[in-house]
Amino acid sequence: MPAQKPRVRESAREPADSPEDAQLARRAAAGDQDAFETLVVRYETPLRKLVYGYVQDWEVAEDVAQDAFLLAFRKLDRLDEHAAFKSWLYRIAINRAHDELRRKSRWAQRLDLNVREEALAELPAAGAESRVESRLLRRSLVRALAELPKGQRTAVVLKDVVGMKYVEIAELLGCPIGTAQIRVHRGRRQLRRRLE
Amino acid sequence: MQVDERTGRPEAAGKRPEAMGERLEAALEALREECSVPPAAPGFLARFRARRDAWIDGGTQTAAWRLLALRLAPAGALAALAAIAFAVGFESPQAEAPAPPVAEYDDPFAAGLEEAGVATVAVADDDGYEFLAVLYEPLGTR
Repeated sequence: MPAQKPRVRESAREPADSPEDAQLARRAAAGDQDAFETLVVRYETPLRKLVYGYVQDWEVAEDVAQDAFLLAFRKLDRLDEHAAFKSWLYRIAINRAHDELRRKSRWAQRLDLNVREEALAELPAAGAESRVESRLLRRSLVRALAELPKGQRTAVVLKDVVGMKYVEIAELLGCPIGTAQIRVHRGRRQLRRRLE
Repeated sequence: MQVDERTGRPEAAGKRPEAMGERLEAALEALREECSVPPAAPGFLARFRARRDAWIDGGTQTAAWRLLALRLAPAGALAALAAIAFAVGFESPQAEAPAPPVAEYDDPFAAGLEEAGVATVAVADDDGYEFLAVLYEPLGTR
């Protein structure tokens, strides 16, 4: 059997938003708090992982995920298409993560200095250099991500960190699959240059 | 000098494009690994509930205050108007009184009168001619 192209395979996948989510979202919008809590339990971990891809800090990721859920709860009556709950929730979280990343990147330079100071103290320890290098690389990645255009940044995080398929990214961002692919490609290229 | 194994040519200064890609890939791979094992967040739902309830309570309190403000608005507006009218009426005689001239003369006698509050001192300096006016006022009017 001939191998199929990834694009065809991805297109055959089910949509990211499930009918069960739609039902829960509809019930939640009608005032059923248990229904919304079920959605919170269901998407708590994926959302934290998604946000972590941006901010690279689990505590901040949890805060942002909390904000996203609370905002979704408050604005649930404005969601016309309950079937799109997951995409909508993810978009809220992504927007909050962008804000957080912008704030975080302002501190990245100062954090770099702290890392270097810590490095001096750690030098006698075995493997300290590689740990320091790893942390510096991490900070560089945070800064480089923050400097990417929003669309490219989102596409790269969703693809290369969260591990979403192009079809899912396209659904989430409301763009053609080709656009999602281009954004990932350009984003990676920019990151490579910035990490040089 | 290092030589590129594939091409047999000397390496250019700095990193090769492949190396730059490896650096990015290493950073992303580390990130993916961390993402694959997120730490447990046992209090997540409880925290969400607390924040949600606080928002609902806050909303209820805000609504109550808004309702109270609406109910009190007519009475409050009337009271405010009355207070303004009273204040304006009370203040108007004084507001219409001419401001006393400023004492700018350093004559000890005039300054003493000024300090004692029995006179107001004014100075004019038209055409190079210094003029001192001491305007006596009845005691107790200032």
